[in-house]
Amino acid sequence: MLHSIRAFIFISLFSYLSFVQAHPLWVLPNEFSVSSEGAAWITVDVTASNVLFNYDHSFNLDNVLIHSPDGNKKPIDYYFKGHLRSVFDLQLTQNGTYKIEMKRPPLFFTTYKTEGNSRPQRLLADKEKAKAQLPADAQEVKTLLIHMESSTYVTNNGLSEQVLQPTGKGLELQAITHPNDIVRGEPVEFQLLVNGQPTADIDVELTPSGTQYRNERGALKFKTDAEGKFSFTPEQAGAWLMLAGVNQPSDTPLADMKRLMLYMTLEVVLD
Amino acid sequence: MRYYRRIILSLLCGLASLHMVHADTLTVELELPVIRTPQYEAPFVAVWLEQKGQRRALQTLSVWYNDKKWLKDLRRWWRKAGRYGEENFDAVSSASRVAGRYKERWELTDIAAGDYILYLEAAREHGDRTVLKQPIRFGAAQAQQFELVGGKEIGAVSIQIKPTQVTQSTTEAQVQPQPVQE
Repeated sequence: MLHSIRAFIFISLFSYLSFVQAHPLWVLPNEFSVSSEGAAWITVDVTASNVLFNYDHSFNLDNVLIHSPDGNKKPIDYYFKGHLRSVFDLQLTQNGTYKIEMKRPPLFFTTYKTEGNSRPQRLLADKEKAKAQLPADAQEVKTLLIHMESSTYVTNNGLSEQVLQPTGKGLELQAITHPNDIVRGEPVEFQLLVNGQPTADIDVELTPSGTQYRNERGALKFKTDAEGKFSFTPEQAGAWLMLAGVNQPSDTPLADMKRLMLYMTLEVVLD
Repeated sequence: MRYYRRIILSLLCGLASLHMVHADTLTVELELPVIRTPQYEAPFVAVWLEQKGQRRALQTLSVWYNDKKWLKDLRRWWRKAGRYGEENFDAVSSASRVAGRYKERWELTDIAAGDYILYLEAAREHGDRTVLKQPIRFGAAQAQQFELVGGKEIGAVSIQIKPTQVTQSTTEAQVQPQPVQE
């Protein structure tokens, strides 16, 4: 399983020059905002696909975490893993905002160049393991440690704030606009934190769904400002995928650089 | 009768605490159009007040629905009011209604004078969604009358606001608006 995920990430990274443009990993609920008399069921797709929102790869969901409005978190009970997507149903038993979080295991990724080959070559290995596999003429050897998370928010009846609290670890959203309160034609403001600190120059890309039905991908691109903030006004209702990515100094000798990637599925509702 | 009682109360409280507040009678007459389809279900309808720039609605005046599961399909009303809890609409909710012309009247005494936006939203299963809005003013000296053209799920709408000046003391309890069925 791990092997196939690695192979998949390898292939998707191989296809693009930039890590930021790797195959998006996303979590898509059938409803982001639910009205209910007590408990309500939702169903959630997990896949990785360059087409938003279509299916291309399934995943092991053992490390999906559901954060409840009361602050508790637990894994999902059971799920279906097909060839092109994984699916689980979730009962929202509390009122308020839930966070659905999927973290990938950290992945070491080494690139290098060889004589007569203009394209960088790639290895799924840390600095130590890569040594044994690198050809003798390998140059510009660099190893990245990639941390990848994909998450979304779903609200049963009224909004709540508990699951929006940052943990102070990794790349996180500090929601100024509540993620389940994004409205077509109204400004949205978000802040991004790295280890709890607002961080400037984080690359952010926001793409509305339906990419297979238009010629332009239609992504909005930003960099966070000095306060780690960015803002935008969505003009299209529907599901959007956000990707935030930033490089950080490595905290292990097994990598030269750490890349933090955060995918987030957001719903823009009708005004 | 209520007004007389208030005036007497106010006089008892003493002249120093007297101030003029307004009361407005809001009347909304709306049409739910006849839609010829084998899958006709009574639409869900909400009428409410917003203030410009406020994320939450000021007050829900009326909600017609039958199953809370689909209440979110009144998308704007759900986002602005419904999702914050039943206490925001329980007292003014009733069963959804089939095509016809309906008139509702509210005596609004606890809303500060100023500019507001009156919203009407309807959503029908297998059907469409219509949102209508009209800027209105409470505490105006003149009566206001508006005619809205309407859309697919809400037809022609007549809105009337009639001012009533009331004298009351600052200490008197506010009276909740009551919908008046006609």
